[in-house]
Amino acid sequence: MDANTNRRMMRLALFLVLCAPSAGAGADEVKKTGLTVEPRVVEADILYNGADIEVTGIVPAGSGAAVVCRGKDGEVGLKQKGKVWGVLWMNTGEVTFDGVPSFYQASTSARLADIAPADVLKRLVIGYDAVEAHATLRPEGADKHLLFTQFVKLKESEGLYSFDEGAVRLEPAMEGASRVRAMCHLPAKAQPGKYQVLLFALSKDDGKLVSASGVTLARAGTAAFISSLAVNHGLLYGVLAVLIAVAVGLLTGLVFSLGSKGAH
Amino acid sequence: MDFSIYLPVAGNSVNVFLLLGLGGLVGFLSGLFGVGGGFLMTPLLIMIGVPPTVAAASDSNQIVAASASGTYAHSRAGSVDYKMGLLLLLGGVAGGSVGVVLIKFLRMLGQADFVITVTYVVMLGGIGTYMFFESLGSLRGRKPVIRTGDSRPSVYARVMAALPLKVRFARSNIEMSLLTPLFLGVLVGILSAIMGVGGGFIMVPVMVYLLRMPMHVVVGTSLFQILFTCLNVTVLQATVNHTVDFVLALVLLVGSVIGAQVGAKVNKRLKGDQLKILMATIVLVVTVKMLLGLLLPPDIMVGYMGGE
Repeated sequence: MDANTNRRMMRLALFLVLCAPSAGAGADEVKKTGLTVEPRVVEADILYNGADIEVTGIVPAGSGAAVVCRGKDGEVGLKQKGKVWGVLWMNTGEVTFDGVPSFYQASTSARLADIAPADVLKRLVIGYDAVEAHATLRPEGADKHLLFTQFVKLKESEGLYSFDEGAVRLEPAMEGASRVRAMCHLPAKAQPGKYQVLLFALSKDDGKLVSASGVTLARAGTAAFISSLAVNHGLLYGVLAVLIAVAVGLLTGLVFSLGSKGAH
Repeated sequence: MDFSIYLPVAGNSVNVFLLLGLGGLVGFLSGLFGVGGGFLMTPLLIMIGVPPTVAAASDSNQIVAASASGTYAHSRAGSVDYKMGLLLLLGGVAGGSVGVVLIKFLRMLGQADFVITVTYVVMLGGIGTYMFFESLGSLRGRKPVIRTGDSRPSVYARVMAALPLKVRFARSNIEMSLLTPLFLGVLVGILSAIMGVGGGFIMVPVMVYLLRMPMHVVVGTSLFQILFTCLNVTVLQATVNHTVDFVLALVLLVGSVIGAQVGAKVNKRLKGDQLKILMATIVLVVTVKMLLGLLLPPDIMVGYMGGE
């Protein structure tokens, strides 16, 4: 970063320290990370259909910004489709990606190529190319780029991966700083767990992680009760499920037979 | 207003009315034809975002309700052959166990997907085509070939006649060896396990063409047998794999039990051949859809492992 940007970063740090004690409930978070995430806990009960996470933060004025929301890195086994006998499209092989996030949503304040160099994006894991560079593929020798592109399409179809250039809004905040506003959307398909929210400041020749926070997604209420019963007491859950199903079936049969008697 | 409901085991949310509609449609077919409808419902649930393993297990759960409702309706009408149903069920349980071992072996060889897909297309296509043309012939007034005492019986009829342990099935008004439904139950059980479905759409043609049961008894007896098969599968899936989503099953079954009752009423108003040709048409539509899925290049060239 140039000297100008460094001065702005110093001013920003000073601003954060000064304003943090008076910032109320979110003050501790701002003090530590300069980032607010709302809500920080998402409860998935029976009427849950995904959640929007509002992200606000501060970056030095003049720099670009990227907000990345991501789940834990892990291993994903995939079935590769191909042609059998030159006619039938079927599963023809298996590959495994390691080090890929379960959830990845990145948004930037401008076109990625215009606000930061490729090596910086790769180091900070911003954008699909960077995620691909950090992922490893087994077996070696398989076409990594082709398979990763298809993997991203699969994740995008579930709403679990997205990349949106220009979705981050930058507003003047105070001298030497810009306020960042962005949204992350946790789809209903996102699995319960902890999700990282990362704010990056980017410039033509450098970039850095400005602040980090997190969101916890947890099942709650009836959904949590049913899920827990299904996992921890499978036999009881299964017996109850069939008993209720038989009761509903017989009751409906009885109601319909009474109805048809009345009709005659 | 958002009419979505969160499915805690599937880990996704789906529109309630969509699920009620799917349940109603499949329940209607269940009551009408005596099939569980798994071969239709499971792919439809996968299409709306339910993981395949959860779709199959929860579908079994809702079929329990639909088949209980349908069995009750047919039982009151006197169209359930319990003796035949029990023998087919015994054979089906034994065949299902053999099928599970077979599919495990095929998975080890890496050939399971191929065998499952080919079995689906061949079974659905074969049964659908045969039923369609046979029923079409009957509806057009072509008389079925009646074997008189003078003509030489078929090999199948001679084998059936030679088998020991003959039993009379009063409700179906037929007499045959109890080994026949047991053996055919084993075959259907194996195919059901390979294809991951209840087997109603295989069992119905088996009852009609191989056991020669009258159509009105076939539907009720098939539902009776499906009820116990799916009851067993639901408890096993819930205990071993934890893949039964009761919220999903509950919404589906509300639609399906009502659909099953309507289907059972319509069943009484249609002739056997009309029923057969309708079922054959549905089976053929599913076959064509599967074939297109095999012949057209997929949008996404990868899928999750364990998702088939």
